[in-house]
Amino acid sequence: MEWLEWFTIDKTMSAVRCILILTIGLPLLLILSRVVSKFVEKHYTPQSAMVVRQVLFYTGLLFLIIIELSQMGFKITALLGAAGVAGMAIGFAAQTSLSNLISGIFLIFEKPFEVGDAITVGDTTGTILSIDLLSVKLRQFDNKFVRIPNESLIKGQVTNITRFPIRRYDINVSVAYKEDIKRVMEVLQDIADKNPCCLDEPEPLVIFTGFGDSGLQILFAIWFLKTDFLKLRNSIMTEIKNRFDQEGIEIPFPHQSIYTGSATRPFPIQIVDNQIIDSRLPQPG
Amino acid sequence: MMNPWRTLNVKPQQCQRCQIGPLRIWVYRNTHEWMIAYDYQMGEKKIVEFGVVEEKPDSIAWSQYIAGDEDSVIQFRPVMPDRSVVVRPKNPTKVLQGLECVMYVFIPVSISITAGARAELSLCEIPSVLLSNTWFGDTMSGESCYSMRFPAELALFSSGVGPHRVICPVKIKNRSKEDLEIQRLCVRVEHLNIYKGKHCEWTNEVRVTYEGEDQGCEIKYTEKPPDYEETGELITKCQVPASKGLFHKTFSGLKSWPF
Repeated sequence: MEWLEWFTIDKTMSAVRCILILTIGLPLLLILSRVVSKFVEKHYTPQSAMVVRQVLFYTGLLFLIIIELSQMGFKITALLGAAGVAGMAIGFAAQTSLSNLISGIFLIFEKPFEVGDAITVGDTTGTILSIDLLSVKLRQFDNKFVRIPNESLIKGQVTNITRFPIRRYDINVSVAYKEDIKRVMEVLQDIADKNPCCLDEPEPLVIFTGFGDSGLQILFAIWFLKTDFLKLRNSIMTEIKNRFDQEGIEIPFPHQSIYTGSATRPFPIQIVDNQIIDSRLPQPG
Repeated sequence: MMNPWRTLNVKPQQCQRCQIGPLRIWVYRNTHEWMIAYDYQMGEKKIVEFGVVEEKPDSIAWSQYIAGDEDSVIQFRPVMPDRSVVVRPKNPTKVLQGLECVMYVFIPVSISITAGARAELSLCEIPSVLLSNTWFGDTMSGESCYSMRFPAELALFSSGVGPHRVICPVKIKNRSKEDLEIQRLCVRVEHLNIYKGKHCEWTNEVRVTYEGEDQGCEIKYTEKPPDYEETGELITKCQVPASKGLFHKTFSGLKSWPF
């Protein structure tokens, strides 16, 4: 019965206090962090609420642990000193994680994007699944999962594709040099007018941009609702090709003219019965 | 012109066709279900036709609605499009300071098809004209609307409008100290009732009072039929009643879109 001697009144009281602090403190902490996070979510974003909830909960938990330890008779000052040294060591070891953590907090409060937005980072494009303290999780359009560390999002360029409700789709159209530019521009305008996904306003742009290697260059820029992207992209290209075919407008492909010298005529070549006959050579018969 | 908003009695295995303006609808009563198909004719048509067709056409896409066997009654009713419409006046119009004008907007309705004698089963809503999309606002904020190619007029036609259009009178009063140039008008159709008129259908009148570039404009959707023509019963109630003293952006077009 030696172990019973350990239960002095003081120690029993401390044990009771520890249990009380845990049983009351932990649920209180959970309720408080939830209430505050709900409030933040209502007024700010779900990401900010998540950060606030986690910060509140873990800070509170740390305080609870310190109180518990002091109740058990540990010397807190010595413990905090040791924790400080350990914190520095951990800080050096976890530099990248800390950098991601701080970048995550910046990202959450700067709000360059939100869950559900489609973004492009480097070569990766996808829809944001979650914005966490260390990383942002994306789902690519081919259903691949990508984790991007927050640090690289802060350092690099991020394009938010779906931030605004409407977008412009630019198509560089090339037509043969022989074509009448005015007529081509009218045909393109008519294609935009007849496509239900093209917005009437802002008006489509048809701009003659220059003389290319193989043809005349025209920028055809049409506005659309961001939700219509795939419908527009599929339909407009087909419509341009079909309409140009109907109107007899030639879409040039890259070609080169080869000359034998600056002032010579092109090579005189004839194709007769699948045989190539050079007209400069003596003809048979 | 025949009244397009009517009740049809379709016998089992029977196909009926109706045309309201450019829209043609086929209705077929099958065992346990209704089948509906539609297509559009080109141009602005002023036709209303109803009749039984001998064979159900197979070249168009049919939609099926499981609705039991009890009723063979189907109803056609005009409803407003599901988004606001943007319309341009026929000619660029300026309302000089202190003056007012009425613009008539000819809005193409959607056709709501319901089954049952008391229209208890809503089957579908079909737009009578395929309207193109447009954006009202700047490129960063605004609202998605339908664009109407049919212009707003300052006078009513003597020949009337197609049976698929309702006339929405918009009374514009310029109380500012500057001229009001109207290039586009955005009509929030969700606040519009449809009334039966003597020659065509009407909506309640929209009254817009322009106070100036900074003050914006006050819009009021009246709650009674307009008095431009002898109007009678309310055919369709508005989807959302307008709140009083509504302030909205209604005019647009003074600034060009950024490239």
